[in-house]
Order: sequence, then structure tokens, then C-alpha cells
Amino acid sequence: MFQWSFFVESLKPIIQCMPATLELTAGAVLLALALGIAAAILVRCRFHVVNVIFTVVNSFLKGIPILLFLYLLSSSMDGIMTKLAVIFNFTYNVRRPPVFAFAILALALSYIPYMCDMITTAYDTIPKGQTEACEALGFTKWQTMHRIIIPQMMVAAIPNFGNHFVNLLKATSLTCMITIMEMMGGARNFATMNQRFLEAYTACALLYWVVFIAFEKVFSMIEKRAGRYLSAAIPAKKRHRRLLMSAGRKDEEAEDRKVNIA
Amino acid sequence: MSNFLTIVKRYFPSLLRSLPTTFEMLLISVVIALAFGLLLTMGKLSRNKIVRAVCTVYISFMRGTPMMVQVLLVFILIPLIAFQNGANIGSWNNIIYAIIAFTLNEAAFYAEIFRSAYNSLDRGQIEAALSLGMSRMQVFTRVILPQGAASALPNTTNMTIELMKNTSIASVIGIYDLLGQAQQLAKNSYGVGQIQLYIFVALMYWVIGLIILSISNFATNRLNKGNAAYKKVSIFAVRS
Repeated sequence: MFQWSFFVESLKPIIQCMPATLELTAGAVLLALALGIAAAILVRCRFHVVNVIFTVVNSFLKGIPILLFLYLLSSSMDGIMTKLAVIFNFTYNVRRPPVFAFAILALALSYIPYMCDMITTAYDTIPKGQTEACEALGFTKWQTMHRIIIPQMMVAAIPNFGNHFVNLLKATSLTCMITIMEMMGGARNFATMNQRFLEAYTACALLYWVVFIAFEKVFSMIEKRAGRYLSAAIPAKKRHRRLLMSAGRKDEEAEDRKVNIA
Repeated sequence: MSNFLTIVKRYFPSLLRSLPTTFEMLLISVVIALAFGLLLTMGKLSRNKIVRAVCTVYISFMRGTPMMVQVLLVFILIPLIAFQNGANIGSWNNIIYAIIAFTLNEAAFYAEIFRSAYNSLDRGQIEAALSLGMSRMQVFTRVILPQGAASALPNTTNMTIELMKNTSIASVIGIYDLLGQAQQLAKNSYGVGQIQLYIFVALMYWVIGLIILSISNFATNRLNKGNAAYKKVSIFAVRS
């Protein structure tokens, strides 16, 4: 049933498609982060109308499956794009739409609300007294933000960011439905050419798993390193952790932070 | 706008007919996954090293691979196994494969949530209950479950809504759920009015999610009745 030769053979084309997966992930994460920051500012806007509107938009974007975004953007943007092409004076080929860009946009759109929530929760973890202290010391608003608040926010946001990053990495597999050759697309291609579906999909799953674990490790390392100054709150050393364990305390806080709450 | 309404009016009945499929997949897989997730949690907390390792690897695999791959693997693997063993599953609906895949995936995520809820409980209470002579079952139903459910419910709901969104992946293996139906309708009309159609489907998914969320908020409020520190949350509030 399961033939190892095909399994080994299928690894190569899938690995060849790995850069596309990483590109998609990186592009979507960066775009989502940029738009998420803007969304977070608007959600926390002082004007009530604006923040209500953007909270609802946030919730709406969060409720839509990624596949729907992909289908919507890949198949029905021709009319709008040709009009935009005339206005902004760029060439848009209807026969060969820029699917890759659409895929990045779709993934980014569906991750904006998560990034926005990540930023707002990180902002809420910082005590208000610090802002007031900065004001008392005569800091300008910009100085307060980029010297005091943002560095702390970044540390607070890293676990969540890692989560969203690996989730997005997994979500890129959906883009093979709009004919993009990333890891899943490579696997499907190999599978249909050789009629060996089980081997190709198993190889694909295992490779995704490897990438997932690698990125999870990277993010936990970054988290530990960035949180050095919080060493009292985060048990960094294993010895310390074991001590806590033998004392019967809850020691899995660091692990729990990783729990995938998307 | 009138264009949007006419298209909605034209497609709404056939979209409505596909809703039971989505709900069927969602409900069945959530119910089984809750039980299976509890089992996995017990396995992960057990003293037996082998059981713990198996559960850890299972949860890691399910979290580390895309839902799409899992659905396709189940869709390929189960018929192969059945064929090898001489079982006849030719009459199975594709929905069954989707439900199996969703259940296996969701159970792993639930297990993680349950474990963190269990860890947030006060160990002293469990020890106190045991020293009062309660049986393990009594401790579970009277001490662990009421508090654990209250703290795990919001995250469980988030995962359930994620699953509701992910049921759209079932359209890949040829199931006419909400998205699959919409895709078919768009193809049938050669793409005329598909923007409006997809936007309407997006609204439907959003509303389903909000309904699930408001039910869960109601339940969370009830479960946290005795908890003075608990504040009520709106359905638009940050969930992370």
C-alpha cells in the first residue's frame, strides 16, 4: 500500500516548492502586521464612531474562511482590476492575473484582525502609570511610545505573534486551490502525475510538521531571549523550573502561552 | 445595492439548502472532539510515560500540519485501509471523511485548551476534595469540571469558530457545504455576480460565528455566576 520509493521521490519536488511557502508566509505576515497596526490604532481611536466601525469590521474579517477570500480575489477581481489599471496606469493581464499577489493579499486580509488583537492585548498589558510617569518627566507622546511602550509591547506580543506566524504558515497550504505551487501544490502535482496520493500527502504533512516545529523552536528562543529582563516572571532555566515543579507549583505557564488560541 | 439584493434573492434559497451540511459537520465533529480531547488531556497528564509521549506526538502532529493535508490524507487513507481489510465503504458519503478529519484535528486543539484550564486550577482544592474522601470521579465532576469549564469555554468557543471557518475546506473533497455550494453557483452562472455572491456568503459565515459566540458568552456568564472577578464581555470584544 505504502511504497517508500515514491515517498522518498516525492520529497524532492515538495522541498523545491518550500521557498514559495516561505515567501507567501513572510509577505502575508508583513502585510498583515502593517495593516494590523493601522487597524489597532483605529480600533483604539478616541472618536467613538471610528472605533465602533473598525471593531465591527475586525469581527467581520475574523469570521470569514480564508478559502473564501482566496476564491473571491482570484476569480472575481478582473472587472475591478481593469478599471484600477486604467486609473493608476499599470498593465493588468486578464488571462494571467497575479495570483501570487492575490494569495498574499487574501492571507493578509484574514490575519489582520488577529494581528490587531495581538497588538491591543499587548498594549493593555502595560500599566497606565508608565505613560503618566513619562508625561511627568516631560516626554513627548512619540518619545513615550518608541522608548517605553513599544519595546515592552514587542516582548509581550512575541508568543502571540509566533502563534499567528505558524498558523499562517499552515494556512498557505490553502493557496494551492488557486493554482499556486507551494508545498501542498507540489505534493498534489506529484501525486496526480504518479497516481501516488498517500505517499505524496504523507511526505507533505511530515515536511510541514518539520517546518512548524522549527519555527516554533525559533519563536520560543526569541521569546526567552527577549524576556530576559522579566526573568522573575518567566522561569528561564530548566533547573529553576524543576525546583518549582518539585514544590508543586504551576510551572507550565511558558508552555500554556504556546497553546494555539487562534 | 439593488444589484446585490437581486443576486442575494436569486441565490439565497440554494445557499440555505447547503447550511445543514455545514452545521452537521460542525456539530458532530465538535461533540466527538470534546470527548476525544478530554481523553487526550487525560493521556497527556497521565503518569505513564508511553501514553504521555503518544499524546504529545499526536497533538504536535495535528497542530503542526495544515487542515487541508489532514483532510486529504484521511480522504485517501481510510478507503485504502478499508479496501485492504475487505470492508465495503463505497457507500460512505464524503461528509464522513470530513467529519473524521475535523474531529481528529479539533481534539488536539481542545486537549491543549483543557490542559491549560486544568493547570490553572488550584491544586489544593483537588487535594482537599480527595482528603475529604471523594472518589476520583466525584472530584472530576464536582471540583474540576465546573471551574475548568468556566475557564476553558471562551477558548473552546474560539477554536469552534475556527473549525466552523475551516469546514469550508470540506469543499475541496467535493462536499457541497456553504462555500462549495457558492463556488458551484458561481461556476453555473459563468462568474456573473460572483463578487456579490461571495460577499453574501462571507456575511453568512460571520453571522453564524456571531451566533455561536453569543451562545457561548451566555453560557460563560452563567458558569461564572459565583466568580466576583469575572466581567461580562461583548461579542465584538477582543478574543485572543
